Amino acid sequence: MTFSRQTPHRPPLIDANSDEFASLSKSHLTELPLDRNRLHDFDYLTLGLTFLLVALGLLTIYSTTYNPEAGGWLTAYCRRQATWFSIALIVGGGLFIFHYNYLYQAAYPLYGFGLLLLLAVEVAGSKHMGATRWLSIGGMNVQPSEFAKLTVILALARYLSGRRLPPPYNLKELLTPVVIVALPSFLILKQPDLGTTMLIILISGVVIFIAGITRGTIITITISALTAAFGGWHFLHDYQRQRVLTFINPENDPLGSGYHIAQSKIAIGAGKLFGKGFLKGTQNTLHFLPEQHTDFIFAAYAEQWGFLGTIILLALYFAFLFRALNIAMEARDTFGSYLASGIAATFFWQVTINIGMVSGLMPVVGIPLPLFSYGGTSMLTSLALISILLNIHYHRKA
Amino acid sequence: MANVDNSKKSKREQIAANGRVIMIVMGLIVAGITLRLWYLQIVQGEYYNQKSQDNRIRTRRIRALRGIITDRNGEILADNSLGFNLQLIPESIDQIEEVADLLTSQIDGLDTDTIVNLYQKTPSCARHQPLTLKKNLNPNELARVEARKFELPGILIETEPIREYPYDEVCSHIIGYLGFVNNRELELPAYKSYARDDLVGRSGIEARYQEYLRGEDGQRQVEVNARGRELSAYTIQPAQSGKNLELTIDIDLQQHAFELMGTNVGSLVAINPKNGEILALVSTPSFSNNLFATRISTKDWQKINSDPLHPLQNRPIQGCYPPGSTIKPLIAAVALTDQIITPQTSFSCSGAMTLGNTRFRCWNRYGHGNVDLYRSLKESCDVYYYNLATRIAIDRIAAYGAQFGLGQTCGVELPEEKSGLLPSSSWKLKNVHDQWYTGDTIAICIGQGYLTTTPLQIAAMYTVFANGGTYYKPHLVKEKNEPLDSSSNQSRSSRAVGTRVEISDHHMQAIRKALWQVVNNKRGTAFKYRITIEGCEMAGKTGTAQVIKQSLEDLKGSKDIPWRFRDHAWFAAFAPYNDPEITIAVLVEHGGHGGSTAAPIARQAIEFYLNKLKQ
Repeated sequence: MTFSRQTPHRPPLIDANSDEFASLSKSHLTELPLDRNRLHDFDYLTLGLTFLLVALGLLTIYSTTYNPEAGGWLTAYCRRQATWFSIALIVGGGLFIFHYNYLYQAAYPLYGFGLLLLLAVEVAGSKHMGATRWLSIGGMNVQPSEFAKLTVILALARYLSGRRLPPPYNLKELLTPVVIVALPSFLILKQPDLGTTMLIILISGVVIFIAGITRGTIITITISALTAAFGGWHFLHDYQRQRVLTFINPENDPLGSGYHIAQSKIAIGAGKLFGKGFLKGTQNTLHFLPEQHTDFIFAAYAEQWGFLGTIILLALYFAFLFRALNIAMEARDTFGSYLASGIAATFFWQVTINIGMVSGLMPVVGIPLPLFSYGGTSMLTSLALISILLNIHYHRKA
Repeated sequence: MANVDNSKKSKREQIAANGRVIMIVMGLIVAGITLRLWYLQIVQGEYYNQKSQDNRIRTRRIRALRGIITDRNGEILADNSLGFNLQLIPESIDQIEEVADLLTSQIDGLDTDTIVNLYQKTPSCARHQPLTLKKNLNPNELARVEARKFELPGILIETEPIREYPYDEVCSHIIGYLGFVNNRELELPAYKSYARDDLVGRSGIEARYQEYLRGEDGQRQVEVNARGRELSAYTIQPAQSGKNLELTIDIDLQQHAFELMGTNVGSLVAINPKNGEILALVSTPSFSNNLFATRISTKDWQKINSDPLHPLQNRPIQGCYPPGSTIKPLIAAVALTDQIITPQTSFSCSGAMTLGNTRFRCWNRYGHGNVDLYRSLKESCDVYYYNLATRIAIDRIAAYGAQFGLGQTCGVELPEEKSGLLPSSSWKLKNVHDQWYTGDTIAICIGQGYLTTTPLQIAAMYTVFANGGTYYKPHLVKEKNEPLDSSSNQSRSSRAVGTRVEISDHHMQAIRKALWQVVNNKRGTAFKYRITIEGCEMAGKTGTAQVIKQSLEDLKGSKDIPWRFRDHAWFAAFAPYNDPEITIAVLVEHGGHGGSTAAPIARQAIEFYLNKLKQ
């Protein structure tokens, strides 16, 4: 099984700590962002998959917010999501103009800014449903943990690629990356937002693994993670413990916290092989399904399109992830490579956690399905990440 | 693992090798998720599909309307009207304190703390279900809530059939009232088909005909959303309204009689002597059965329950009183039939009779002189009956009394009817452990002693004198109504025919004539209250039942005697004399002499009824 075709004419990977990288970075700053002769270098496949997933998402959002009495051919949520997608496309397009090497320069300042925002939440954040996650800036609610997620990947890629010490690294040599991950993770865990904390740690794990670590380190980390999981139980909030307990036995409390998982499983299962059909999912239209256009949108999709539909959706995501990892492997330099694998990991873990959660494989942690769930922040972040991915691919040939 | 000999590989090879590991891990995880979805959607698909159906389809009950109760002319006595209940849906309300304050200011009997408490105590799984704050709003309250509907999201008005009694206290003892079935009853097999919040008859016709009036609840299926809101519904089984019931009561007479009784404590029973149909059955003081239609307030209940006059007691069938002189026609009939006397046989009354060491007084201490049957009844001479008492065996009186319906329940269609007491020698031996003395018979013959009767029994007895010898079981429910069960079917057929009493026709006529004289002869005890209209002449008998021993009666004038020691006043009558249409028995507790308290009430009731018949 070969995932990446290593063609003989491929140029050697440039180390971001080399002088060559430095000089290349300088020359690219003056280069025209788009060249008519290089249109074939653009990654149409990833962009196509993105459009396909967003389109399916819009269709499902329409079905989850459809109200036969209100009429109209688009629901308000659908229109808003489409608007967010357009804005995100413009933002992503704008980002594409700039060579991703700018991010190499900006990685640490952005990381610092992300930490500052998290500290600001700690001091002046607005409380909502027992958690302090939002910052009110000019009437808009911003969730700094979303931004921090991005800056951690940047800082990690920057640090690992700029390092003179060659991999694989052992535990001692990983001290700095661990600190880079731990600082924001700790602040986010305090909010408390267990889901995003978990996500950041998992993404960082993938980036560090791609960079290379020793086998002993893997074993040590696995053992200590398991120990921490059991020890960490004592530090969990009541609602978090409840979620874990409910996850283990949802039937225990079918109308309380187990309700979400139970109803979501019913919705998915009721889809059977071919699904109930578009707009015909009763779990969805009669609102038995909670958060049906955001976190639980996959269940609404599964109810309408059945096993065949879910297989198709999973295949689309898998193709997208496969492509993203390929971009990581074919990147011009180590920074691009680590950054691309961080982006691939972000999408992978979000999809895994979200579908695992709605199908009852994992506790409910509140991670949306990227490109699919309703939500402006998620859409903006996703398209920004994809834009960077396309950027890395576009500049793969130096 | 690809990262072991990294040092020998180029950086690109290292990353590619590690990337492949990540790809394999991703592939395995996606395969795991696919397996999970296959399990949920293919293996367990049908199970979850059924669960999604159960989620949205619920079966709900359609309440059957209770049967309507009417009087003999179709006038409605118990009806169903719409009750408006104030409800609150917790999940639709954010500012409970504001809503509660607003409601409290508009509607009596609510308070903010209770509402807020109720709201907060509702578990999250039940927050979509309406809580009932107050049942049966009055029109004013309803209007106030409706006017502020926009300020009150989450507040709704639910309609529910409630039982309504248009005549209220006029016939509350007959109709009875409803009450909620309680938890203890729900466990009994007889209440198998009942559910919490069901109403059942608690007294009167409502209780006796519970199953007949109840009807059958229907079922419907509704599609609900997650908040329990009904989206569509279809009926699987329609509700079957309860059957209507027609009573023999003439509500006009009942109401008039109730008004005539006024503040008097007592009973009035009117019966059609041609068939035993009860035309009026009044018990005073009364109560409002509409208070019971919705949950009765503790205050109202205590007021009714602690009233020393016991308004809940249905006196015509539950009050057992000595019949006083109203028993005399029966005694005379027994004596005539057993050939102890003829109508012309006379006894001398000197104001008292001595038997052994005891002196038995006549109410007229100066004596009546020579008294025959007619005078004995007309002037109600006690000594005449003392003389009969020394000659009649008590068991003969018991035997004839039973034919007239004494000492047993009449079988009227109301719960808890009392039988009174018609004593016999064997009864006394068994219950008092003593033999029967002539002195006991003397007391019986003037309607005192062990003998007690209900007003209904007295009325039923006088229907026999009215129609000339046939005893009909008095009844409240019209023949044409379907029987409740086979046992009552039997009693119905016999009640329609009636049974002849073993009194010969000419003896019966003699007694009837004497009773006519009571009212229409100048010396009769009820002459003052005769009916002078041609063809409407009344016949009857006064009675005065002693509450205490005679010694206290020496006090001059009834006004000096405390109310509770005064005699009970009786009057039993029928009219028109030649072809009676109505028999009436009036009892006024502690009313003094029957001729002065009970007779005017009876006369006016009869006049009212005969007037109504003429029209």
